[in-house]
Amino acid sequence: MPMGRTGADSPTRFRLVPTNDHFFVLFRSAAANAAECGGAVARFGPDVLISSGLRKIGVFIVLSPLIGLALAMVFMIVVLWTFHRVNQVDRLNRLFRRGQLLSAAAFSLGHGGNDAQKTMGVILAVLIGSGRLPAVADVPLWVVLAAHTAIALGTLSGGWRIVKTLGSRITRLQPVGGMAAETAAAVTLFAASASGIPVSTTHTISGAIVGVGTVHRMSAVRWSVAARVLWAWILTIPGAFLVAAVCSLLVQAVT
Amino acid sequence: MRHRVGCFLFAAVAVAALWPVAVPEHRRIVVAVAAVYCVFAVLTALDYASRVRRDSQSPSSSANNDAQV
Repeated sequence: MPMGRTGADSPTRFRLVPTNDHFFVLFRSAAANAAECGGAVARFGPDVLISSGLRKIGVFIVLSPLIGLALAMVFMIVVLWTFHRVNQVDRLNRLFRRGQLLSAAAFSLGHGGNDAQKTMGVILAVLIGSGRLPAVADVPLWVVLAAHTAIALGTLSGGWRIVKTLGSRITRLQPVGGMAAETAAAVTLFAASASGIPVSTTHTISGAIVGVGTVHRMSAVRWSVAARVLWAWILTIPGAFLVAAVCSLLVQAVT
Repeated sequence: MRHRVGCFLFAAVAVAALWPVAVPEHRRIVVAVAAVYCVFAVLTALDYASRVRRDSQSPSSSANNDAQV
């Protein structure tokens, strides 16, 4: 009998469906979901996957960067039209740098509201599946704090190469472009979170940065770098699926 | 600029192709995003056409250069 739980304290909804007394979290995105699917398929076969959940994730893997791209273009055009008569470039740059602090904060909030929920969802599913929590339990505080700490430490120790790729290798971002891209990505993430749709922060901001670049001209975007990023996204999904499937089979063999 | 029109049309078609895959409650979002890209393509095409027309009226301008952007 299918049982459902909608995460009340998180904007991203998780659908927990017990099959053969095990819970599977569907309704999340990209690599995290692929990994979980890989583990589930390796253990119980493909019948345990819920097609509607997978379709939601699959559609928004494609849509989220395109929504970010479109919104970033609109924001960028609006800002350029609004300020095109202002000649004091330095003053404008100072203004947009300050604005970027707000847009970056909004983007981080969107990241926490959508991406970070997936980490907690996996832990919660394991706790429910192993019988340590009832099926209708909320996310325990220690899970929230542990997930936040891990994400914060990961952010702190993250490599400059990713910052460089997004900030200067896809297209050279100016403060105005950065502000438009972050605002567009933040709006996309807020809307996705409010609708209970899991999307990837990275996919969204990458699409938004490409959108900012294309407002100037198509050649302002290094399409070879964008294509490499796209290939990395595509390969991550089957990669995570396979690694999770292998790990699940290994654990099953050991236990 | 012609490339940009093509890219927007391609994006609109790619998004519209997701319609059969999307769950019913998300099909409106798919249609909306595809429509936005169609609007972008039309606006870019109109902008391109007006530039070409303007450049063809002024002999000193370089229509070819603008057309290749």
